[in-house]
Amino acid sequence: MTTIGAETRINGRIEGDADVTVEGRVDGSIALTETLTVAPQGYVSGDIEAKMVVIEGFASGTVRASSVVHLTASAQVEGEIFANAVRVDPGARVRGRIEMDVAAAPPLPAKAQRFVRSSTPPKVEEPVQAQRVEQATESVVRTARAERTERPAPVERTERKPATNHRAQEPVARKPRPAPKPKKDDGLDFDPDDLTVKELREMLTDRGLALSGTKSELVQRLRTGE
Amino acid sequence: MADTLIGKGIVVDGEITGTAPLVVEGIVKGRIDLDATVIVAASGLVEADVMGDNVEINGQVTGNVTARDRAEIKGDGRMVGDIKAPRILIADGAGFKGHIDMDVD
Repeated sequence: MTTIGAETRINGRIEGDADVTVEGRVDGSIALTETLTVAPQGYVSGDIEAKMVVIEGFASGTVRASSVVHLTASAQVEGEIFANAVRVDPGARVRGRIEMDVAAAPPLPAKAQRFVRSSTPPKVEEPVQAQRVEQATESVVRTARAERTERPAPVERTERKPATNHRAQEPVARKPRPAPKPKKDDGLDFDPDDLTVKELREMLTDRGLALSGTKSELVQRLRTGE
Repeated sequence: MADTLIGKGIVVDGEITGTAPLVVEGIVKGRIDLDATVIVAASGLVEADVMGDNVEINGQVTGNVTARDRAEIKGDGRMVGDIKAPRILIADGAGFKGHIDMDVD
């Protein structure tokens, strides 16, 4: 069995397939397929990887164990601990993070669902709403705000309104909002025919397009994007 | 007590320093610099410059060895590198290639 004695310091990497006990000091990484023990006066500064890790002394860095990490009462750990199981005795001190292999629940769908539920009163609109969520989180908030003030209306209209409302309230934020993509073949998530000329001009300005011409020309320009 | 043992199956890549005796049964690459005895066991492999009070080689050493007191290559030992020590022993059967410096004026 390997022992790094109290009066010994190793500056570099230790690896192997046997047990190692550190009573001294190791500055560097340790990678073992067996057990690493950091004794009460032992000091390891560097990343640790082993089947099992017992820390009675000091460790700083990332600690990974394929089975167990055991921090005894005298342990001091700074850094992250990843293990199948972690045992922390009373008295052990840890600063950092402990992460065990939790069966990952899909976080994104869950979030999206919660969002849709809270922001969409009329059931019918749910698919549309979901799409908007994907488009941009910032606009979603506005959607919610807008919808609270509106009675349920045809899908097409409610969907467009938030965008226009928002423009009126915060003209500055207009720029970063990406021109809503696909959905329809003309690439617009609203019907330009429903807009006033003023609104059309604003939309064209957003897209850096020319503002001249009749209303039908403006609508056409918005549709084709040229 | 607090001796250091690099056991079989262990590779140390780096520098070992300190004041505790060291026994190498595994592999050490890099540098060993101790104020104590260094023993390379029969199974030990050292690719490093070694400095110690006493250095005893039963295994293989590639690198320069400096001993403050004594350097010894045992019968099973193999060494490639220079030795510098006031007292040097090379046993019958030992393998050695390198220079010897006993610091004689």
